[in-house]
Amino acid sequence: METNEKISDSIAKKLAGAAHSRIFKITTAAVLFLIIITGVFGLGMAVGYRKANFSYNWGENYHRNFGGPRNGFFRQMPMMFGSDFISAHGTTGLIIKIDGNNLVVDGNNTPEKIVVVSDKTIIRNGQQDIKLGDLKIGELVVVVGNPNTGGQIEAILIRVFNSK
Amino acid sequence: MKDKKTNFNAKETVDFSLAHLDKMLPEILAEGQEPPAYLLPKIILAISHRRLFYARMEMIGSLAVSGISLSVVFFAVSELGRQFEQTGTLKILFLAFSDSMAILANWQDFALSFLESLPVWPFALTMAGFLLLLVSAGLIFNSLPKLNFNSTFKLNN
Repeated sequence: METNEKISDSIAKKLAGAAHSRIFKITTAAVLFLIIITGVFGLGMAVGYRKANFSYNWGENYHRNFGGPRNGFFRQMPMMFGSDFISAHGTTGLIIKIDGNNLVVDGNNTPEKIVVVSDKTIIRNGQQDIKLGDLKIGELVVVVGNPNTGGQIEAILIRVFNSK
Repeated sequence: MKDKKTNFNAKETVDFSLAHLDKMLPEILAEGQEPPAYLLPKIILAISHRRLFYARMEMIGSLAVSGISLSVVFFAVSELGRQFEQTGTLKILFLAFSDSMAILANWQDFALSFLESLPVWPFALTMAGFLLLLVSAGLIFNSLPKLNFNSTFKLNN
């Protein structure tokens, strides 16, 4: 009985020593680093997929939304430093056209997008909630929403900044 | 074996040297030869000069790296600011404070909107520039004490 206790104590001490060893700490740090980097990579892939998908839909439906070549302009868009696929879940820019429930928002050096306003869309200017009819052409807006298959953004929130 | 060209016999030469060494060795040990008095300071001075030279080279290299990193940081920060303005990242982030309830109700769309608007490459370049600046600053601070000539070498008495 005492011998078994001594053996278990010695094993416990060895395991405790191993847990504090340099190799154990390095291995733990390496595994943690791999987990973090894998998570970041997955997040990047998820965001990139959504942007690419929306960019494709935007290009394929450009002639329906804005008029133009039937094949769309997507393949002709140059990829410059710092620019990549179109953001799918929001946009920032000036309102250049209001067509019924649709707004056309033109970003600064970014492609114009159609924002679809529904009954659930919150439109705010300062501390007040406003309606679609209160929006004017030339106002700077920030839109957060969901992309649809037609290359448009279904707005959840529209905030008006300084009008120009 | 004799070398036919030089008439040199290695075995005879070794035997001759060993015989003379037996006679010379007691005289050599008895004299207790010591190096001249100026030799030690001369060696110390040479080591100090060499260390000072390496410290100066290290300082010049560190200053060059810090100059390059400063220019990289300046370019990257200006590009980052331009990209923030273009993509509206800061405006989207502002929504988290101005419309917090609406953003909380749709936090996934807001998070994706924010992440999509981030200018990734200018941000990564800025971070790389700052890292390079920190490393070069560390090298400069490390090499500063070595530039003091008097402290480049200390005698262990």
